[in-house]
This record gives sequence, C-alpha cells and structure tokens, in this order.
Amino acid sequence: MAATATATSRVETPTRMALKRFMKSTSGKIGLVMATFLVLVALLAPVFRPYNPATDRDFLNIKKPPSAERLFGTDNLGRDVFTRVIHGSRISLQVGLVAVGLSLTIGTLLGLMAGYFRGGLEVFIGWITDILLAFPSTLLAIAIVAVLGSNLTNAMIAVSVTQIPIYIRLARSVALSVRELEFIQAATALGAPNRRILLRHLLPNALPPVIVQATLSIGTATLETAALGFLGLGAQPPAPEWGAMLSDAFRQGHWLDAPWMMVFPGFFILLTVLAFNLLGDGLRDALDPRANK
Amino acid sequence: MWAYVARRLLGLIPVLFGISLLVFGFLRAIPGDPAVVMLGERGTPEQVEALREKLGLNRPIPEQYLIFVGQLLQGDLGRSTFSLLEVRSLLIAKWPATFELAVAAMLVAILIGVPLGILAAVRKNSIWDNLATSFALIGVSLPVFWLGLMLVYLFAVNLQWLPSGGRLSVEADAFFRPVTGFYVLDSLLQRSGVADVLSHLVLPAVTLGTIPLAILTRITRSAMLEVLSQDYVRTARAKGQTERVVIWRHALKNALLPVVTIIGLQFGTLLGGAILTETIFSWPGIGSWIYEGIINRDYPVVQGGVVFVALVFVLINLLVDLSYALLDPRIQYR
Repeated sequence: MAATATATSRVETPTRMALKRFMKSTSGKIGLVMATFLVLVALLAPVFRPYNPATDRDFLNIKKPPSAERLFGTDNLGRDVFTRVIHGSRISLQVGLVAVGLSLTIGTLLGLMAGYFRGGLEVFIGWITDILLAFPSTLLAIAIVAVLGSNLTNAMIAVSVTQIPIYIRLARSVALSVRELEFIQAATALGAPNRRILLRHLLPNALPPVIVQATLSIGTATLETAALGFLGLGAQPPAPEWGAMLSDAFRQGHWLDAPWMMVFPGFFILLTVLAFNLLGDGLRDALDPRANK
Repeated sequence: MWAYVARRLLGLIPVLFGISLLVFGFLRAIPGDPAVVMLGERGTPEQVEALREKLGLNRPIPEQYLIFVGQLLQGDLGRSTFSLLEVRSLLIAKWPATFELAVAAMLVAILIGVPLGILAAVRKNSIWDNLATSFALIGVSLPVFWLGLMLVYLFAVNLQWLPSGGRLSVEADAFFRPVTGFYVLDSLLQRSGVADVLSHLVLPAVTLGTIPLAILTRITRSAMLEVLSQDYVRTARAKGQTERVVIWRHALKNALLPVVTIIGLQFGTLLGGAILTETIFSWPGIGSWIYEGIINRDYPVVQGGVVFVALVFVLINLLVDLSYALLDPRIQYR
C-alpha cells in the first residue's frame, strides 16, 4: 500500500518530465546560469552604479586603461566603461525581449491562421514570407531603419520584422498537422468559433517549438540590434548601447589607443548571445526531444 | 527534372514581383525628396520642380511603379544621385570584390568546418568533440564586427603580420591592372602581387567565414552522427572495411546532403551580409556600397544594390534545391 502511495505521488507530469530533461542538458544549465547572471546585472546596475549617460563625463581621466578602480578603463570622454557596459545590458535585454515578443506574436498568429484556414489566406501569407526571406536579414533590417529613421525603437522594430517569417513557418507547420486531428474536428462539430480553436487548441500545440525558437532568437535579436547600433542606424550616443559603444570606438579611431573601449562591449554582446543560445539548446532538449539528434 | 526547374523558375515570378513592390515602397517611404537631395542646399524651388518632373516624381504612384519595373526589366538601374555614375556599371565594378570575399570566407568555413565536424562525430564525446562543439557554439554567438576589430587589433595593429584593410597595398596598387575585378585571379594572370592580394584577403575572409564555419561544424557533426548509426555503416564495418574507408567512402557521401544545403544558404547570406565586414575592412564591395548609399540618401544605389542582392540570394537558394538531384538520386522531381 505504501509503495502505491509513493508511486502515485511521483506522477510524471509533462512539466516535470521537461524539467528533468532540461536539468540533464549541460548547455541548458550553463545557459540558465549565464542568463540569470545577465538579468541580475541588468536589474542591479542602477543600484550599484547609478548612472546618467548624458552628464557622466570626467575629462581629467580620459582613456585610462583598466585598473582595480576602473575595471574596464575609461573612454574618450572619461566615462567609466564598466558602468556603461553594465547599463548596456539593460538596453540589450529589453531590446531582445521586446523584439522577439513582437515577432513571435505576429508571426505565430499569422502562421496559425495560414495553416488553419488554408486557401487564399495561406497563399498570401506564404507570399509575404517568401518575400521577407528573399532578403538577407541584416540588409532587410537596414532598409527598414532607413525608412523609419535611426533610433533604438526603430532598430527593434526592424529586427523583429526580419524574424517574423521564422514563426510563421513554425506555427503554420504545427497548425497543418494538428488541424486534421480528431479533437479539432470535435471542437468544430461542437460549434466552437474559429478564434477559440486557434487560441485554445492550436496555439498550445505550437508553443513548445515557438518557445525554443524565441529563446534562440533573443540571441539573434541582440546581435542584429548591436550590428545596427554599430552602423550608426540603431541606438544613438550617448546611450550606453553595446553596438553604439563599439561604433564610437571604431569610427573615431579610439580603439587603436584605447582597445578596452572596443573589447568589453563586444565581449558582453558575445556573453548575452551565447547565454540565450545555450539556454535555447537546453529548452529544445526539454520541450522538443525529437528535434534533437 | 526540367519540368521541375521550369516550375521552380515560374514560382520565382511572384516573389520577384513582391521584391520589386517592397523595394519601390521602401524608397518612396524614405523621408526626404530625392530631387532636393540631388540638388543640395543651393537648388531653387524651380530647379527642384524641374528635376522632379524629369525624374518622374510628379506622376501618380502606380505609374511610377510601372516605369520603375520597366527600367528594371531592361537592366536600367538609373544613376547614382551622389556620383552621377550609372548604377549598373557601379554594380558590375563592385560585385567581384564582394564575390571574391564571400568565396574566400566560404573556403575558410568549408576547409575547417567540415573536417572539424567529421572529427567531432567520429570521436564522439572525446575532448575533440567537446572542443569542436564549444567552438561552434561560440562561433554562432560572435558579433562579426567585434571579431573583425579584435583580429585587426591583434594581427594588423599589434603584430603587424597582416594589412588592416583594403584589397591591395598602396605600392602594389600602382602596378596592378584589374581585368576581371577578381584580384586573386588578376594577380595570378599578371604573375605579380599574389601575396599582397592574398594577405589582404585573410582577415576579412576569416571574419566573414566564422559564422558559417561554426554552423558547418555543427551540421556536419550531426549529419555524420546520423549516418554513422545506420545499418549499412555497420555492415561495412562487419565486412572488415578499415575505419578510414567506412568514414570517407561510405559515411561522408551520404552526410553531405545537409552540408551542401547549408553551404548554399550560407553563401547567399554572406553575399548580402557582408556589410559589416566590408565596413570594418574598407572592402570596396556591394555591402559597403549599399551602406554608403543609405547614409548619402543615394536611392538608386540602394535600390539597385538591394534588388541585386535579393536576386542573387533567391537564385542561390534555387540552385541549392536543384543540386539535391545531383547528390541524391532518390529525390524525384515531379
């Protein structure tokens, strides 16, 4: 009797199984630790190092190399690179989350609709997808920013547009396979409205692959936004955005005599992207075990 | 097979139509009047009006679109509003630089990535496998522009082993006669400046090639692992074939299909995505040209460049699909 009791209390729910698989994945665990660290840095930056990018200048300490006092050195305006880099993580994480949230919402809905309704709508959405995929993503993002104007918000919008097709394709393929299953037919027979079928029945099935993709996309979005910042098409100075900091260092040649202005912002871009790529790998092992190997 | 090719080509038409719509829409939506930009600050309102008339900017939008497509179909891409040169001839002059860089980057990626992936798969879970997989993970996470700057700082500024940018050194430039625009080829034909050209190619190629290198390592590894677990590989081993023959003759051939797909797709991305690398290394290719076009509001340049890149991208993707037929006879085209 006691044995049955313990057995039932250890029922393997899907969540618990996924959690188990996630904890078995080395890359997932490393990614989780790194991402948590970055989120903490972003949250605590204003507590440890209150900072105003517009006024923080110290002309007596220009281009000082890294030291115990100034971990990452100072830049051409005497600003503390460490402070700017940790405040940059606030911008990058926000951008990553918002850009991915936008493309995920729009792309998933369009994809589900295409796969469920089929017909002309599917052809039309497929056409839009093909067109968006006909441009290398960096180029498309640059073109969009050229139209909207160069600032961080527009860079974010541009990056999210380039990612929409991925979600359309993912969600559409899920909708195509699920719509033929009995429970959807049952829901239709019961007179469930289309909106309910889409959101209550199709969406939950599309979520696991979409979540995995979204985690990986945060890395890509961070990278692309920083690239736009580097080209001067994203965040504008004096914002401590990593790409814009690199652009400052590169364009005015400061990186030649003060390489720390270039090394640290770039290293943090790498850390952030790596963290979310690892986390995404772990989540794939957990949520989508068939996709791997 | 030919029917399949024809159908795929027909299928391109709506995509090309969409690309033209999008590019046209982008250019009309960019703030600022091209006529004002062309004339600069000294243009009088009358001159601006006359130029608008001449450029057809006063006509209704649908008519402007039809004119745009008509010119596009004739290969007429207009003139740069900045240099007043023909966009088409600029494009012809610029693309060899980008193409050469992309080929070099792809070579770096293939020559290192594929063997590394094979090694990782054959020695699964060994230190080599761990190194290769970690390297691949870091590679896809690297910001290309940062990597480029780091490489220049290390190898050009500090060690001074390699040049920091451009395609030729100033001294070599005086004697160099570009014929094809592909400098490696040109220097081989002239039997001079080969070392100079190649040394300029190394850092940009490594920078641009790192991401495809990382992706190729990953894909090759997983494709090889998949193939190595197949029955026919076990049979080959059971027959007493040496491990080398099993890997190179039996396994690799079948693992190549996904690898070739990725090579093709990445090559397309390289051609268009070279903007960052070209900017860092002052590489006079299409990427840096389009970027300058955007900064200068040089619409015909942006338009011509973007259309060209999108076209090449779409065609390469098509070629990748078609190359399946050659690599895998099981795939039927109906």
